[in-house]
Amino acid sequence: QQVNPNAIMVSKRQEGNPVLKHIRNVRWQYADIVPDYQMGQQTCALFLSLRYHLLKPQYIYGRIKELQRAYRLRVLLCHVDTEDAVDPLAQVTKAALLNDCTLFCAWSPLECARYLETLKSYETKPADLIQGRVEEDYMSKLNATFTTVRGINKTDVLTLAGAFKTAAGVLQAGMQELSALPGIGPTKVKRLYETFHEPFKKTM
Amino acid sequence: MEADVEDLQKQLMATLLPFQKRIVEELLQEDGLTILANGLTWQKVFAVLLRLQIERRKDPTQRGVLLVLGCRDWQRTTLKDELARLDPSLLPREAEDVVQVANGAAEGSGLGLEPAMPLEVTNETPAAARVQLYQTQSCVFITTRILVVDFLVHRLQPSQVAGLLVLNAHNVTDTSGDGFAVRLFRRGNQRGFIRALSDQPSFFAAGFNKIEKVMKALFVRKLYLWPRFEAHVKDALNDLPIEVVELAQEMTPAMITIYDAIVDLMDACIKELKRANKIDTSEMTLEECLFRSFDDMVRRQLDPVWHTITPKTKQIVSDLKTLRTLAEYLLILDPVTFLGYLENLRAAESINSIWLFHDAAHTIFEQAKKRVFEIQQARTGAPKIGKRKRELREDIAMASRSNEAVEVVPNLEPLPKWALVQNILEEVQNEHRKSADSSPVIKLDSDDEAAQQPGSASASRKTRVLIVAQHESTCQQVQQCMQAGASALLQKLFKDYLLMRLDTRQRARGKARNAPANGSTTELPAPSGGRGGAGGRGDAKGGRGAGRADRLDALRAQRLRSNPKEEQALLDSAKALTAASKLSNGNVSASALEGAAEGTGEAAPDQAAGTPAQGSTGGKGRGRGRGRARVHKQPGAESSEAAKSEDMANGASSAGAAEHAPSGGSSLLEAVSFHALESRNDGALWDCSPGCVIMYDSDVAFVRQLEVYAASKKGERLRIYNLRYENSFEQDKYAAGLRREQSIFEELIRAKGHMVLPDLHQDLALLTMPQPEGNLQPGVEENIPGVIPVTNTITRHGGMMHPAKRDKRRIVVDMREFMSPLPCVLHQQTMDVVPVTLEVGDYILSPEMCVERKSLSDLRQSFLSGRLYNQAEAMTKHYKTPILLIEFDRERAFALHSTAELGSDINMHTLGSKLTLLALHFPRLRVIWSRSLHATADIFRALKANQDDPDPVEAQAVGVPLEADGSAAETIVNTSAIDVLRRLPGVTEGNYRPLMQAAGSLAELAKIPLEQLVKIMGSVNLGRKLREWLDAVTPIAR
Repeated sequence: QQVNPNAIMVSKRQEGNPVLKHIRNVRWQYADIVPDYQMGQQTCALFLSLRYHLLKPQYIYGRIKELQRAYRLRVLLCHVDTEDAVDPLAQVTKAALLNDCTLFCAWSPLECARYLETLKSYETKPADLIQGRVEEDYMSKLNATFTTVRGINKTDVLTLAGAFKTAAGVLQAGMQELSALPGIGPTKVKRLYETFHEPFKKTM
Repeated sequence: MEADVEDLQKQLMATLLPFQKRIVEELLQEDGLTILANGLTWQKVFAVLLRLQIERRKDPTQRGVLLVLGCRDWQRTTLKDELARLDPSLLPREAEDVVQVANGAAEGSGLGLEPAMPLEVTNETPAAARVQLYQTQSCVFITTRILVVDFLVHRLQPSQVAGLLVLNAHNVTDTSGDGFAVRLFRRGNQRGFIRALSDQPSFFAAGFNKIEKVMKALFVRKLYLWPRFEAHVKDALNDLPIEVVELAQEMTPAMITIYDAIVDLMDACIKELKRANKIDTSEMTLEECLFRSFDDMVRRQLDPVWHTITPKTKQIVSDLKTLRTLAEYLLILDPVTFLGYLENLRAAESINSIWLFHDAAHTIFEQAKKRVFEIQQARTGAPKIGKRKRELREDIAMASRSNEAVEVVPNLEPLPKWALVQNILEEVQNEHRKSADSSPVIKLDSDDEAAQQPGSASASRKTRVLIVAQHESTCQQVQQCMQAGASALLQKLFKDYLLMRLDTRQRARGKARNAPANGSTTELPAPSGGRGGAGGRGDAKGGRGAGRADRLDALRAQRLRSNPKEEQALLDSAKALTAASKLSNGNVSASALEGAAEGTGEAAPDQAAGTPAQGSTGGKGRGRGRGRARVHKQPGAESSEAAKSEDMANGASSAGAAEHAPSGGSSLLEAVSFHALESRNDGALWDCSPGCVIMYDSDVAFVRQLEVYAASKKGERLRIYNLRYENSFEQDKYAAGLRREQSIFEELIRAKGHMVLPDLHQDLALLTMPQPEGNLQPGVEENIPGVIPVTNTITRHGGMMHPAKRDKRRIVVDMREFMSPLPCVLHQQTMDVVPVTLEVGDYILSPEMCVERKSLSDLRQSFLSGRLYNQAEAMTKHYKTPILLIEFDRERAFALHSTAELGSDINMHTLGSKLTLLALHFPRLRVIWSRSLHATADIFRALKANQDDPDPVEAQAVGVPLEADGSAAETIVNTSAIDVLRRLPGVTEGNYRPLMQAAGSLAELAKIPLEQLVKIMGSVNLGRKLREWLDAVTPIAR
């Protein structure tokens, strides 16, 4: 059988898993692999349903052991399908942590499938999305900057910008000026003022 | 000594009202929690308690410091003020430096202490100084976090503490910081006292058995309730010589229309919410949703499922909040500011909000605009409101094509309450004048004094007036209004408003020239800017139903088209304004208020006699008032203050608005003080000692304070004017607030009747007993290879349950984490919690394991800001096993997001996608999904089982840049500022530290000139990028 590099490879063991029918955004095909799913040379996933874990608590250790050291990212995809998940999840967490697996929890087959799809399609994606880089246009940047201060929303950003004209102006705004603005109460005033005027680091 | 204290006690008690006396006695007698009705002046009670303690510490045999916990900033100030009022001799020490006092007192230690104002201990007090303070002070205000840390590292022994005063007791839970501190204290000291107080009874209505939980966490068994209807309180506060004048003011027709529209919208939102069907809506009435507590109610119901409900429902909840704020602002903001706020709101929320697309919202905008200005077309003069949309569009199209002249007619409507305040002030002054006339000698006398020493001396003879409003800005505005006249004030505001538009417009035009194709996208998504892409955006939101999208488009198109001419007219008048002000510049002095008076000239004819202009032909008189400013600066005013007010008065009267032509050179504001409720400076009432109070905004707590004030000033007459808008929610809110409080107290009294709490000794015994190891079943560990099974340990100990090795329980915790309840829970589970300042990670479990804790909202936020990426990077660099702990709230459903949010495609904005990306970039990063705090503690313990304990000193040094020269000095990090800094354009991973070093703070950074920035950042490009961004004038398109 031909191997499609853009497809998720699925172990025959997974046949009948309801997760499979939810994998729609990415191709998948059966293949002879050690893990349950393989998203590339470096990435694989093991699937575990918590209910199954309760029945066979030793199963997952065996599976992890089989993997040996073959993959860079080893995901343990855990389907949380029991009412009281705390104890079994604690066990699974420890199993994953102490055996170099990254645990992902999902609450439905669809969510499980989505993680698998995402792992595959983000295989080579750069990290920009989570590095806090926002669009470069002025207003998004302004919003992104000032909404970092807790409690400040976009309306407040507009109020601030309107009152002080420039970002530099906002940063230098005094307590009095800030408290005169509509929608910005004493708590927000204090937070803004402290953020802008307290030193970054104070050593005692 | 004891006799001294008793004497003082008697003396102090004499200053209190009988019921306050009882409150103090109760607390002195037995530890307890006192719940006081809001406004019954808790500060008096606490001040007496503090003063007594200070006296007690004079005696060298009396050891131990009294710690005041849970105190807000304003409460601390209030308490100090109260103490100073109680005993002015305490004052001078206050100004001294903390360290100095500590040293000075250390020298004289053992000899007893001089009474002094309690000091504050915060994270800015160095550790060494803190140790000193604990030994030498009698009372200390302390932040909970510092107290917990100092208890844990044994800087302070519980036995050194005489007792705790806990404020805001409603915030105490067994896992809160206060609860943690109380437990640490009680464990080492069972004799010291714990006296707790809350004046927010409404908090005790939330949740099940809240009151018992609080009392348990505080280790107190007595509950003292002091509602307003308690007999002693009634005795003291009823039948006082208070004269209350209720003034119900009608709203203007425009306000009523807006108000009704808001109510309609809220109604619609509630109906929508009911349709969403996830909540019990029986309690949700229109009346309820006027309260802030309505949010709590909705949140309480939705919290368990909050992250699984549809975005639409979330939006409705947030819309309701916005609308309530709007209803509130309608009554307190002047029309111009209100319009500005509305426009900002529309610009910021346009895409997401639901209410904005309702017809009623349109009404709100139209009416709000009408309160400020009207657009008149020179040809027809017909107002465009009420026309059908299509007609309107054609109209506008024609108008703009033919370049028809339109003009802005200012239609500035003053707030009705302003006139009321003015009338009252006049009345008071007239009365005073009458009484003064009968005894002319006194009048002369008082005038002289007033001139020399405005404010203080005249207080003795004149009736001092206190104007009370909720917001600081309202106070300022009312003050300006009384000085310069309503129309002058509004003109000034309107001018600012126009100028801002002019700025914006010029700016936007410049941009458009630079990038004609892109111009609209760089602007805000404002409904009325030049936005070409609006329709497209509406389509993108298609999921919400086609009907709405259509409406949305139509509305947008309409606004888009109606705007150019309106915009143009506004700009024209703005330009005319600047021109006019340039011309008259020679006459204008620098004072802002004179600027206001000067502005009046421009549309003065409209405003003649102060009636709202209706379809007047105003606006034509523009520039006519130019020469008028010459009138001011009349000689003969006694003091500069008087001259100034004279100035105002003249400016105002010449503007034609002020019928209140001031007489005899005294202004309306003589002997008038202002108090903003939000400043929480409650002492103002006592300092000012007014004979007349104008409640511009009504407030239950303040009315009670007035009662207490009147009761303590026996015999003096007090008149209260209560200003309310008729048929507004102000009235309902006040009454409903009282009702709510009463029912909560009744509930509490009932609960007190059959409250079952375990015996205190039993609790204390439990506390000091070594606790059993967690609640993990032994079976859990048994199954995990790689973990030394606990069962073995058990058999080794002859089958007895025995805690695992005692020395393997240490967890190093970042100082800042003590804001969260996790360290407290870890400690409850007999873990050894060591607080230090960590550069990398929040919890260090072992030399190899480092944990970063994120609650769901933190997680979302730090993905957005990129902070988590940086943290993951740092942890991966320094630790073998970096761990991300995702902490779920036990009260809420255990899920990352709702199925609705999942959608059918991979969406890069969901948490799951971001988490996946994070895992792909940091394959070594481990994830813990923890259901609750206790689950986290269990997992931590299990993970530590076969690992070494971490070394606090090493952990602290990790990731700290070398320049810190190894000295492990305590630093306070302004995280919020660093987050902002790192988001600024041009700031990178490589240059933010030098920037921090060079600038010190953000405000300072904003001042650094370009060349220096370039030098610091080491790059011309980046430096320029930052500087240009900082100086760019914001394109606030409206």
